[in-house]
Amino acid sequence: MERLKIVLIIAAMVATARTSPGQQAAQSSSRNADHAQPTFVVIGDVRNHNYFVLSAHTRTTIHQAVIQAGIVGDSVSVSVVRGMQQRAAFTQMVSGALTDSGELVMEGDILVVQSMQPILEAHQKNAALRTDGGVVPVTLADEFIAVGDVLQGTGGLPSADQQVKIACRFRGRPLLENAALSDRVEHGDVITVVHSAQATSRGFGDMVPAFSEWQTSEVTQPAPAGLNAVVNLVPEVAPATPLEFPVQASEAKTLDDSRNPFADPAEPADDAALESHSETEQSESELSVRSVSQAAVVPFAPVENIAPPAPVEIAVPLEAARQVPAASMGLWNILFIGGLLVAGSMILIGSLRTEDENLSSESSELHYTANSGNVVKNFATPVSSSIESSTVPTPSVPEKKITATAITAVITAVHAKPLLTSENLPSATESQAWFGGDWRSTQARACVSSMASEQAATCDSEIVTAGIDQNGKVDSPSIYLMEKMVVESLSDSTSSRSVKMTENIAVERNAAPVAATTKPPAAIPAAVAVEPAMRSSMPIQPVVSESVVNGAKDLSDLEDLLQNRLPIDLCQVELPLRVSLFGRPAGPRRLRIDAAHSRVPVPHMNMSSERRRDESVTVSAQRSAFEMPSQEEQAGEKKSAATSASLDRALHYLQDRTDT
Amino acid sequence: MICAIDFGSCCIRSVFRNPRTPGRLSMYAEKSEYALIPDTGHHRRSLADQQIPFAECEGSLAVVGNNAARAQWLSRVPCTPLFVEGAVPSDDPPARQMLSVLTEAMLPPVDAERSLCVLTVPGVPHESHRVQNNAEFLSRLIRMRGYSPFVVNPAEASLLATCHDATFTGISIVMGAETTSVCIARYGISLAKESIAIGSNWIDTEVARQFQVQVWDGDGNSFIDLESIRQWKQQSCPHLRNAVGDRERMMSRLYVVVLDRVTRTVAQLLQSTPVRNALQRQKLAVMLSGGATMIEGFASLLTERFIEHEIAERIQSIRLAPDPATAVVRGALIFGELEARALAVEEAA
Repeated sequence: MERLKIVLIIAAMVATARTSPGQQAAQSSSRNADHAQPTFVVIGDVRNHNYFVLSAHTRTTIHQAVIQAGIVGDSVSVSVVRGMQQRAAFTQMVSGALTDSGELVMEGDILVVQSMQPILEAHQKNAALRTDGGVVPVTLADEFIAVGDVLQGTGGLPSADQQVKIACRFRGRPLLENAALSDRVEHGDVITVVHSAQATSRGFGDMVPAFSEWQTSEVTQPAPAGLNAVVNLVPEVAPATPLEFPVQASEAKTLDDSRNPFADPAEPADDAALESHSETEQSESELSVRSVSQAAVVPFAPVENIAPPAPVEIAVPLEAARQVPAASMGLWNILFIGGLLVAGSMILIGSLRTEDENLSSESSELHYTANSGNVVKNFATPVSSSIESSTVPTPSVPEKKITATAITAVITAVHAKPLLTSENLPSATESQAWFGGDWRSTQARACVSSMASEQAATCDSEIVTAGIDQNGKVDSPSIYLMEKMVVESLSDSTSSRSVKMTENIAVERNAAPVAATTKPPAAIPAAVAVEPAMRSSMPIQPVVSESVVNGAKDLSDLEDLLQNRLPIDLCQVELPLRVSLFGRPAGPRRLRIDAAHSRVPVPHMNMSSERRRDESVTVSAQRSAFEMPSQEEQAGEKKSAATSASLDRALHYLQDRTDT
Repeated sequence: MICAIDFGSCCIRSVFRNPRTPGRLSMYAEKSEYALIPDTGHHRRSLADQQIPFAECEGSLAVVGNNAARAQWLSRVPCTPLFVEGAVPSDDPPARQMLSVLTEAMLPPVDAERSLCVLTVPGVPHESHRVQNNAEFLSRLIRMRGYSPFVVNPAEASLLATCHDATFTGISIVMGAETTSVCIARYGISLAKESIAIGSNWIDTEVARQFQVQVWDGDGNSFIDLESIRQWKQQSCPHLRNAVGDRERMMSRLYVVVLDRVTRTVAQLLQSTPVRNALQRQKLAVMLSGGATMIEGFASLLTERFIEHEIAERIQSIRLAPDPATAVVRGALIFGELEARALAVEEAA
């Protein structure tokens, strides 16, 4: 016991020891090698355009992030470029007076802040460059910075199969779908470098829709993660990997190249501010590059717009990282290292085992010897791990029964998806219990069976709580189906809905009659079938295992469909080459705004008098505009026209004579 | 087999899981319009040479779907929509038969005894008996293909497809060519929904009327040229909040009119009893989908309208669906898969 106390004291010292900033940097650099921190970027009209680290434990809203970056002005408009979407996902107003809407910042977001009022405060112009490797905030140190300058300064020019576009700009500025290297980078621009194939097949894998309502193939890539889910704060893909641009050898890197995400993050950072992204390799130092020749890139640019020959600094500012003091070895560090050495040496010696540990090690040895003959020798490593997971929840089962269930565990390992219990849910969508089985707890079942209208909220909360997996994430289809079942059961509480739900396991068994008939009941181990304590914790029964696996696969497919992860193949519709239809088509009558004139009035070349002109117009207007004249009518018209013409001439002669 | 088909006034889309390509979805998409071409030997020969499917009608030839754009140069008459004002035309028998041909071609063959097809019906459901007839007519087309039809509201379907990260709780707005649907849901269950008989076609028509964007056929009849308006929107990428030129400003004002109606509808739905009881003062996410929402500045303009109508405090965010054009049909497929599971359980029980 005394030795145990010593270990506990050392452990407490280790737990309470604060690492120095230098250690933090070292840890962060080592952590960056394995797993980068989730970050987002704030650019635009802010005082500190930079990376910001998303904490895995606390939620960061857009309002908080923008306020933290320091807005310039009273109220700003924040455009959020999320994931690999080619445009701003949404826009939000932020000001000190407005309340926080609760919209969360996601990993990889680019918050483009634009002040709604004229800016009087001087601040640095900036932009962002987004590539496959991550997002880089760029400081525009000169008036005219071209896209080529930014790309050259941050790692290299795009290759032939890459396309540069300015996906998000301040309002009133046109987006550049295919930006040239000589195009000017404005304040608040988000420059995106994508592969050409990716640019044409966004979000649909290999499929490009033939058209849409806009006759375009504009289909954006789905957002990489949900908005409000807590687990989305955990990055799924490590950001800020080096860009695949061909780095030109002529561009000499300075000491500040480690701030460039495209450069080799070899040098460790000095320190990290808590809220700034100084722990990643992007922000550990400052990047200073020379601009490309503006005259060569912009041959027809006006003289006043050509950048001066002085080098343009495209700097990634991290003032916080510069201001952090150097590492210092303090008393806590010495205690930390000493404690580690002592604990390690004592562990190596092996003299710190308590009696309980000894007992548990003996039991584990027995367990290993019991299972090793049946399982471990016959299966690979994943199989043994699966067996361990299946036997862990049964500590109270005697050793004899565990040995007897080894065969069952083998079957479990082959299917690689253990049957899910209420306390062991790897994923809610993979759990057949939610849909095919009795997915409700006994409390929820009782609640549904005797549910009154005023108890709906309580039951809902219980059911939703039951749909939370180990990660605390509420499964999407579970929510839908559970809510639907609850509503239906509320609508007809006297119906047999609850009975149906309680009999779901039986239904599931009936759904797989082949498996039930081919598998003899004797194949079920007695320990599994008889032991009531094992029934809840035993992962699988051979009779229903096949349907369970299929159901889990179906649910996984449904989750993919819900998450928009399934690519869509656009197929060609095979219409019959010729088909006969009955009736006369109506045509675009709704779109017609003016009917055609059936007959254009003949010109009257010899008419000088206003009176006669009026008469002729009247005569032509009196004709039906939609009826074609017959031949007889035409002949009569010609005859009458000739007669009227001669009469006109006579009248004209008489009038002129009278006038004179 | 479970499939979904979205009978849109601008485009008809169907989607299903192809057993030959597991892990992917197969989609058919055809424009819901047809082109009329004079029935002459030369025109027949031209269509046959280009392998363009056509239909022989009384007095003319008709090319339906996406092929209409390929054959329109043979006639100066603009394409005719299959759904007139969001409804199956009662005075155009060939159009109804073309709908049957398209439906038959766009639905996969039935491979099981019980196959479900979820469909969306254009138009406003409670407006008149005409839309009910639409639903009945389109459902009959589905039944003729061997499927059991199941009608779903477009906004509900879009909510299932796009609001998974909000636990299927929020406001779904689907703005199509002829109809705008609004649905407020909690955990995927619709609390209140409404449809408005207005969409992007009205805006395009008004712009075309105002600026006299017309086209004449060979006989001299004048038609509104909606196609050129759509192409203009596609090429010039107008921004609703930064309109440049008279035409863009006109369109922006028309969008304001439409969004005013949408906002009033949302406000009414938020005040409805089921919504107030279920959601109280909870802030809701707004998800936009439909082809008309793809214009730049739509979300920003809608935000402004929400502020104007004093319901912005109930809104958590306004987001555009990642796939605005296909969200409805994908949501309908989700709906179908969920309903198929529920039906299987009920039948077995």
